[in-house]
Amino acid sequence: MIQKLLHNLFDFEREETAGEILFYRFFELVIVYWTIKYAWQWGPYLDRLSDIVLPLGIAEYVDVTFMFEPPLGIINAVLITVLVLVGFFRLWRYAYLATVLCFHLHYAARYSQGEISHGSNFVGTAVFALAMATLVFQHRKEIRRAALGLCYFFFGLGYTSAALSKLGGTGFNWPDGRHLWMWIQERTIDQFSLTGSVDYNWLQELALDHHLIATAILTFGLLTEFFAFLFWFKRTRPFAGTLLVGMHIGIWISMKLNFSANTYLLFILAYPLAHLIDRGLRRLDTVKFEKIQRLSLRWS
Amino acid sequence: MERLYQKAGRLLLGILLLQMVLVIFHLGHVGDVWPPGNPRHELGEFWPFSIYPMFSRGGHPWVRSHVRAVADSADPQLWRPHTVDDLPGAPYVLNTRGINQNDIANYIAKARSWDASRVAGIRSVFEEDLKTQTLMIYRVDGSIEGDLVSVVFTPFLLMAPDTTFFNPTLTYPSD
Repeated sequence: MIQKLLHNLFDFEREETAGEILFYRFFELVIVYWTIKYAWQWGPYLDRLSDIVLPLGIAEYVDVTFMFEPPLGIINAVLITVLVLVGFFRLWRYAYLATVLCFHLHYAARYSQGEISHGSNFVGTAVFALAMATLVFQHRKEIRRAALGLCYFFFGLGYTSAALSKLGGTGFNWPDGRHLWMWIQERTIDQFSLTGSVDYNWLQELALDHHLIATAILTFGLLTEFFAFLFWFKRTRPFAGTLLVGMHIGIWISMKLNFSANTYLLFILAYPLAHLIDRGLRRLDTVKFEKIQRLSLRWS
Repeated sequence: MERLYQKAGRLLLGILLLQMVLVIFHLGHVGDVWPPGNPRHELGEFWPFSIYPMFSRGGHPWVRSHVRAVADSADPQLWRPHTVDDLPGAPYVLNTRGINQNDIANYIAKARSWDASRVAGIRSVFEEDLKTQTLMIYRVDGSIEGDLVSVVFTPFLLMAPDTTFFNPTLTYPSD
């Protein structure tokens, strides 16, 4: 069973194609983009903070208020940007690991105000996977397969763990539609504070008017999360991924919460996009194909 | 080839153990929250690792915040609880100021003391506008009552340009 799982996650023996290498670089580029985006979203915001309400992670051991002193937030954002690019261009083997450490400090400082944000966890997990794969494996193909395998595993585990948290925190009555009413009202207060107006969209009105529909929405979410471990297996990955992306779209509409990084990463990893790239490449003439193949190997 | 799988398996297991140790020993601060009897639900965090407990406590009461610009800080009516339909003043729109709603809400719900530094901390978020405006932060409590969701706006902190007032009818946490 464990052997089967490892083969599904890592698939080392399969020959690697040009499409896979290009796909991996695209995946890596998406991670680099989100890392830089978060670094610059959080960095300048640190200047506004002066006090720690709830210490998270490293902030439980180190007083991270020093990060609120301008321009340290900006300096750390610059550092994260440089390090993640150094990792992407293969200039230093430990660059992704150093990125994770600076990124963690950045998160601990930014989310010291009581909010525990989960929107960036998958991006952080992916950078961590890139770092570990680079440190443990030697050859590029092995690094790529290891990094992707770790992402499949920890993304799937994350959602299944979320479902178990719900069952542990509430029990089997978690999908009671009235719970969705509570969250819709909570999010409406947030929107009211952010925009100054109160309004409900069609899905929120439907859920608020019909307890059965609200219950059905939550039941779909719970089952989708619970079976997210199917993301570990090649055959079921596209189905689990599609359901999870659908769930995120549902959360976005019903609660106006957009886990955009998670949604994009799931979409990228769920489907055999590398094979689509290969099929596209096969349509090219030999000269162009070989040129792209050489380029993909040079960038690998 | 089997060597590669062994190596990958050991790596995966190592990260899994690291994750378990980190999330088990970083459970947050259960019981440190305010109001008393409202334990925080975010357990098991060490970014980027998490047990992902968001929305795990279905039906439990929630606490959020809402900020409004008010005209008369001396009006005793300001301190009574309100519903969304009878709030005084005008909404202070956080989006246009680039202020994070979660930060304000968590300040209100999770601060373990309300000493001078905590007050200075929250005032610093609104610093520019407090030179010319008086702002009231409401604590917004949501709870389920039968088949209805009750939402009550309780005045929490009145920030005038030169001073800050606490709601005389509330008890505030202190370390």
